[in-house]
Amino acid sequence: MIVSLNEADVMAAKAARGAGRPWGLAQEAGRAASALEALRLPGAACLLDVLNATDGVPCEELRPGSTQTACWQAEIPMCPLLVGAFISDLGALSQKVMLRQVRSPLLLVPFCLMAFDNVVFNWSDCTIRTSGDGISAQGDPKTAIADQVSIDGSAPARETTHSWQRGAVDIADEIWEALSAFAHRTYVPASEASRLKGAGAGLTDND
Amino acid sequence: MVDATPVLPAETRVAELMRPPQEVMRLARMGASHQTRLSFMRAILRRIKREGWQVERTIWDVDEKGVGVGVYEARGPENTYSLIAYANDLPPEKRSDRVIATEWDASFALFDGVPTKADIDRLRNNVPKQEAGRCAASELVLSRANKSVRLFDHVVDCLAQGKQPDVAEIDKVGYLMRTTAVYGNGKFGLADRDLYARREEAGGPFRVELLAVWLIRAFTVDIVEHMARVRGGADAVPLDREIRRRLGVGNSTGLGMAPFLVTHPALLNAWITARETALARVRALPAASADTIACFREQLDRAHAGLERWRTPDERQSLRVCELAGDFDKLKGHLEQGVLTAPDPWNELYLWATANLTLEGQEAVCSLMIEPHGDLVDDLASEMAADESRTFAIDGRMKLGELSALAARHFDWALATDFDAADQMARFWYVSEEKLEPRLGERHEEDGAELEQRLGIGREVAMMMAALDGESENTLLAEFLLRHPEHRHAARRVQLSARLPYAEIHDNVLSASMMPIDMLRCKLAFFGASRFDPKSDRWVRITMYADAPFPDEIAGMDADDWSWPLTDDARPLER
Repeated sequence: MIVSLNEADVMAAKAARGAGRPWGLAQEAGRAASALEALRLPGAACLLDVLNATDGVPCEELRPGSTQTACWQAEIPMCPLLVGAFISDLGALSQKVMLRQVRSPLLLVPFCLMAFDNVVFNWSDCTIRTSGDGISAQGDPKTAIADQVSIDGSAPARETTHSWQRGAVDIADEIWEALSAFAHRTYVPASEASRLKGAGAGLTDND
Repeated sequence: MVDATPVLPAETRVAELMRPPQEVMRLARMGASHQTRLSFMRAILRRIKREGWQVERTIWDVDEKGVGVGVYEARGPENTYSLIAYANDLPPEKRSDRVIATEWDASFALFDGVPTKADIDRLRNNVPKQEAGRCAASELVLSRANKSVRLFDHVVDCLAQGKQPDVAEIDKVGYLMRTTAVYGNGKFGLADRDLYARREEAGGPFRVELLAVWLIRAFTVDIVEHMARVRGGADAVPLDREIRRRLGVGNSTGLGMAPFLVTHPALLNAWITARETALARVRALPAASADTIACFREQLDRAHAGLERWRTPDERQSLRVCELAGDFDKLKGHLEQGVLTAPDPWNELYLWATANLTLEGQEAVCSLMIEPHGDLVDDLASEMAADESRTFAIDGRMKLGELSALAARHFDWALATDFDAADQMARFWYVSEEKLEPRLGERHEEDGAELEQRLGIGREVAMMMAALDGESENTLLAEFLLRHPEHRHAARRVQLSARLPYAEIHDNVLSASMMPIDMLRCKLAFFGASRFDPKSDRWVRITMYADAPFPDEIAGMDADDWSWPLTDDARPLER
């Protein structure tokens, strides 16, 4: 499915909401997924992995138990949206972070790009560094669960592997449909009364 | 009409005279908004005139039933935009303005550049289906329109017989067709706004959407003349230019547009800031020149006379139009006392208006005061775009004590609202499964409130404040939000309000007394719409570009002298 970045953003936000993320965080999920898509990285697919794996799990189980320790962790793999939002909120205060057990760590990247100028991520066999007009990624950035993620300040990478691109992106049909199914949970079914009242019409407009 | 060298008022004086958000951002006042010279349609036509755009109908392939395609190329200095119009022969029973319709009298795409035959064929399979079709990044806008059957048939009949239509009939409706949606910014596969936002002519808010509407207006006349030729053959005549100019494009706007103002706080702030800055600059002028006074008085006369054409069967609005006429009478009486030749003329006039006129009247006076001061304010029209992502990040290093203080300062109205009261929570906003469109439900009577859209920002902030009770003032916001991600939305909006004073509506949009049309009117006035005709508390008809020049005449006319058109007395018509 070829979609505009705006459609990807809106769909991702609705899907996150449908999977139980609070409103404000769901908006951030939309922006994070579409920002990755703008870098031509699999933002929608990563978000779907996270939502599938954490559907119905309350937020308090998906965030670090304590952030006072050197390494943040929860009892089950953490949600990159919750952790990413926290890092972004803290800005420069959180520029050196170790995380244990994070789902789809690629989704941390847009949050950190919002918070710091130059940053390097390491997980599994993947290294991602900010560069002049995008990022430089080595290894496979799409990991279901990373055992350990480190985030640190860094000099910008010399070369860019993924630059910011505007315009439509191609999202696999099955991913789009699965996100749509989550989004669908946010819609209210119509009744005859709501059809008439909800939009406020009902008068003839055929004149 | 205006002074060659306006005396720029001191910035501090302008800042002092800015109306506070507590006054401006109330729904009752937003619902009394009028177009100003900063309105988008006016800014677009000023540019088209200034830059000498050429508009040409390059394709007209429409059959005897009125089915086919027309293409209008609008060529600016840098870019060309083409309206592709698909005309349809719609059975009357299928004609509906509601978003649930599936077929329309005409459908449109604004194409980025000049379409090839392949583009036109591809879009023929998609544009008439609207939401059910797909567009591509080469299309900027998707829209559709239905006829005003009554007026359309009358005009076809007259022109086919070689006569001009009755002006009274024209004025009764005001348009041949009304659009029922104008989509942009990536919807249904259209180009993302980012793709063209850097172009000077397209970067302002709703520039491409309203360019499309201006071209649609030309199409509505072409199709009516086409049908008259089909029927009348050699007897048929084209529409008289003076009569033609009275026609705008109608528009039905429902609830779908209302949440936009809540979900685009930085943009709302930019719009209101521009208009309020314009008003404050005018109020700060120490004196008024004779030319400026003459211009103001002329526009006032025209606005007053133009109320004749602002007709609505809606009782509330109809009463307000009557009151506005009374306000204009009062204002004319007041002007006789010499307020504009005394010191601080505009500020004195403004203060008099707030003490003596209805909200409709006050806001109309604001618009009229800004009108003669193009040199002083037109620069503000280019400062009305905003990128929401620039103000989206939360500063989690803020301590909770500071956040509370900001909330208390900027959301005092919300914190004084009793959200436990049934009437304050009477409504909920939701998205319907059926059409994926925003709707308004009655919380205490209908199902689905658990799925509500979180548009009641006041209530969100009140809920966050309740949760902050018992937290230490020195706790970092980031730590609080990690434990309570459900308050991220409210925290973001509180921080936003501290930076962007006009970002929030200062009223509870969940309350039983909230009128969605107040939100619609505010937005539509910024577009430049006039003659608001509410059809219920949640949808409204308007006309766009009525009395404005058409593409084939703008080069030889004043592009910006149409918002309060010359009256019939001053501009006799051939009938």
